[in-house]
Amino acid sequence: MRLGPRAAAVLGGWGLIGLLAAGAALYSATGGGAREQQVTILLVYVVLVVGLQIFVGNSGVFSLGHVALAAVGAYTVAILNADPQLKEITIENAPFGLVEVQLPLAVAVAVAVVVAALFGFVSGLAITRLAGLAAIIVTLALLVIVRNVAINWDELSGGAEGLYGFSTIDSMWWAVAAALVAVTVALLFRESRLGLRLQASREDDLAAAAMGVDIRRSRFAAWIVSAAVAGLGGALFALIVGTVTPDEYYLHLTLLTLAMLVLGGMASVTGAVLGAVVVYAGSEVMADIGEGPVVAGFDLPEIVGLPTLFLGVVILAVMIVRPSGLVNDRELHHLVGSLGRRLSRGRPAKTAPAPAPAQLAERPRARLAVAAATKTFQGLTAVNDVSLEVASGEIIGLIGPNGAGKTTLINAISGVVPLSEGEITLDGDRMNGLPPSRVARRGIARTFQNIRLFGALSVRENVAVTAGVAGTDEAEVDAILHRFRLDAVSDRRAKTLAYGQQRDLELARAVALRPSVLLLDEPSAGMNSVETERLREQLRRLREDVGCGVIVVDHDLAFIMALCDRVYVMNEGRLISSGTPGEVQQDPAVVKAYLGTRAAGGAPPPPKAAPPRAVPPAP
Amino acid sequence: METGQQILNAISLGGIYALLALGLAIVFSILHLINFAHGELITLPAYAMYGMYLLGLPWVAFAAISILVGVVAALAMERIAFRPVRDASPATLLLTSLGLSIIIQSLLQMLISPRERAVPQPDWLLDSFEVAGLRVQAVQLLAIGVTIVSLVALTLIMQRTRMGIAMRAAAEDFDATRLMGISANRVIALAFAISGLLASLAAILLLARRGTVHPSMGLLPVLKAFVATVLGGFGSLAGAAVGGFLLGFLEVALRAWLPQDVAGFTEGILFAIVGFLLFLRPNGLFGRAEVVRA
Repeated sequence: MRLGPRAAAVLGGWGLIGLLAAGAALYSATGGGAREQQVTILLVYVVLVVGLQIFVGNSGVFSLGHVALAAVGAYTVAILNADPQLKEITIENAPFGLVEVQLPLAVAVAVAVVVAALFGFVSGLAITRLAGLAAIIVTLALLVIVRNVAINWDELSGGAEGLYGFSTIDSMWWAVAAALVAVTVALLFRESRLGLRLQASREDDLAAAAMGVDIRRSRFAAWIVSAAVAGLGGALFALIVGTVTPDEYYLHLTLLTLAMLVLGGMASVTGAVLGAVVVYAGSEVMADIGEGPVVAGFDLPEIVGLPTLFLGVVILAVMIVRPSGLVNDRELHHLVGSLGRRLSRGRPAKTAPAPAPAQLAERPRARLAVAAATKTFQGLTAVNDVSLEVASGEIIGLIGPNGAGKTTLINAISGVVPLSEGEITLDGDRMNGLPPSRVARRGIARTFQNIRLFGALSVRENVAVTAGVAGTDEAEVDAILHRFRLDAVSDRRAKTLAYGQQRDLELARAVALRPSVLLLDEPSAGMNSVETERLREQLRRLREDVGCGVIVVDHDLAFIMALCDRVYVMNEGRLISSGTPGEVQQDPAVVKAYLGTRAAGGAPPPPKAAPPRAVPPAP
Repeated sequence: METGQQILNAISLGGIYALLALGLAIVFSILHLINFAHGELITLPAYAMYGMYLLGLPWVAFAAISILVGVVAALAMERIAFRPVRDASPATLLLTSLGLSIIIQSLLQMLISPRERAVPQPDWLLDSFEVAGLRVQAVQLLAIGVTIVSLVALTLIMQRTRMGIAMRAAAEDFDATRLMGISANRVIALAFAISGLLASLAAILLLARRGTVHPSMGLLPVLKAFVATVLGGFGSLAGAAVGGFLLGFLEVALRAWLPQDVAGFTEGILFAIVGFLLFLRPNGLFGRAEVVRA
């Protein structure tokens, strides 16, 4: 039986928490209440770190604000569950009649999760617009603001002294259950379409956008899910500690959870769990040593701050020695899977022969028109008044010397750079001005001159990202992989492929978008003549059964002339010639552009049949 | 008069932020490292001054030696922690500096004290006198003077000297600069030395204002400087200086004009304003959008 990726992931996650719970039960059974307390705290850290992982790990955007989300969960549970008589002391002037409210613990925790998710929704509207440094600052701002409000809005939060008088949890099984929920949610998110898209944007945001991924929406969704799990973690943290104060949910907890995440490997849920275990266990050991125990008759001195020093050393050492963390982006079920394959190697394969691959579905027909397109970069006119058209089933070539503006035109059509003047339409609908992801969703797919794959994702996942955007089903993903002869390497990471396969994969990924128009930027760069021939066959077949229109930019004139129905020639931003390959080859303007003025007079026409490369491919 | 007084406060506070922000920006522009351990370049010189005070040395000696400590500490950080990860991703660099920062803080806690220690400042530094109707403290004048001299000197270094030009070139394209025969190690060391120098100047001024040292005293100033740098546009030196002053003005203005009953929210409002500005301009006020190379 072969499990689907989601089922495998969930089972792996349960196995992980099962192992952890078994270890925890064993550990606390041999040492009593204090040990059970330790184990419970560890499991709550697991929830917090997994919550952080859902956003940071999938998006690659750092957050210093997750502890603020946890604080929201903690305060909610504290306010809703605390004894009204004690609330008369801590927050007698609380608004909305909250002083009288006392919800049962489970209900209070559930409400805390919902409130944290709502808070994530509101804060995410602003935060998820940003990436990189700005995201770090804005999430830090969230942390500072939430703490500041918690200190000063004392009618609700009890101010700096905080809140107390709510139930505490007395068994580690609550925490086990919460960790199970958190890990399941995180793994399902990782394997979901949304999670996959977000990981694609982490690997290459430009390529993800050009493949139709709405990065902001994916980030927003991840932020909300992440907030809900962080809220659960915060609520449980409050229930263990027994009080909630603003200082508990500030920089120290932020650094601690971040250290746990990066130690294990932030792109992996398993890593998040492992990191929490290692860092927490290490800190506890350090705390014991720091208390100055008596070892072998020697009374060791007390050392303040040893766990903190340990934290710093761990972070520094991981970054220098193994920056991607202990397990990188692998999950438990991957490890088990590869172990299984290793064991079954040598035995005859029991898998049924692969079913005949499905035919690629035909694309919606369309006509792309570029009208008087102009793009200027600070005074330099890269594309100057260019018009061209391509319809489904046509392959057109776009050639010209280096710097002619070909790539800029491709970038403009795919929405990566805005057009200065002119119009781009698909079946009459205006495309320019739309973000790249919308252009891609309308059916314009592209490849890049300097291959941009989602490097850490598998070959299949690379294709699945765009298939998910276009609504292409699994069978067709199989068919596309088969078509591009990638089925044998479908589980490998894209960045480990050989150069030629990377080119194939980039094309396969674009085809999975079900494009009406395919834009190829120097697809034959770096290929030998055999590979170029194969590519030509591939593109012809795509035209026949898929029926998409293709614009090919390339420097290999023989390839272009043999492949294309029509050829457009650009020089210094302008269109200088267009027509059938034969017509273009006879055009004196083209000869002049390629060979210079002196040759333009009575020089022989440019090569016809299969000349050597007229222009060396760009690096 | 009240307004004039507040403007004076804002300039002297903003100047300190500007010195710190410049140090962060100069390192960032070359290495793409956001140095969280920059805060320890405030803390270490401040503890050096504490040591000098215990030895009974005069204030001028404190100041001189603390500058030396700042520069040496910055160079040591680069050599020990950042060189091994020099070509890593910005996230790795950031976390490395975070680890370093935690280590230095906890060592100070262990070896000296987790508590605050007083470093009495000389009377003349805290004396105030009247200039054009304003009450001015010597330390405020010192802050303004040091900031102006540093900004002018830094501008001259960056514009006129060979190494300054090399540093600007490295900020544009480090690889190309290396290919032109400029030693990467020297450019980076100089950037760290300058950031350590600026941070220790800020440390002297901060210590004069607060009068005590504490293992995590660098944290809040460096967070503010970090905010100032991002606000100005990370990597832009002019932006960092402007961001520093802007933050100083915002902070002083909020403290001065917020009604008493919401005064506690100053910090929250400050960060909310910063968040909003970044929301409007994600690359900072003076930052350039990244050029797309597809």
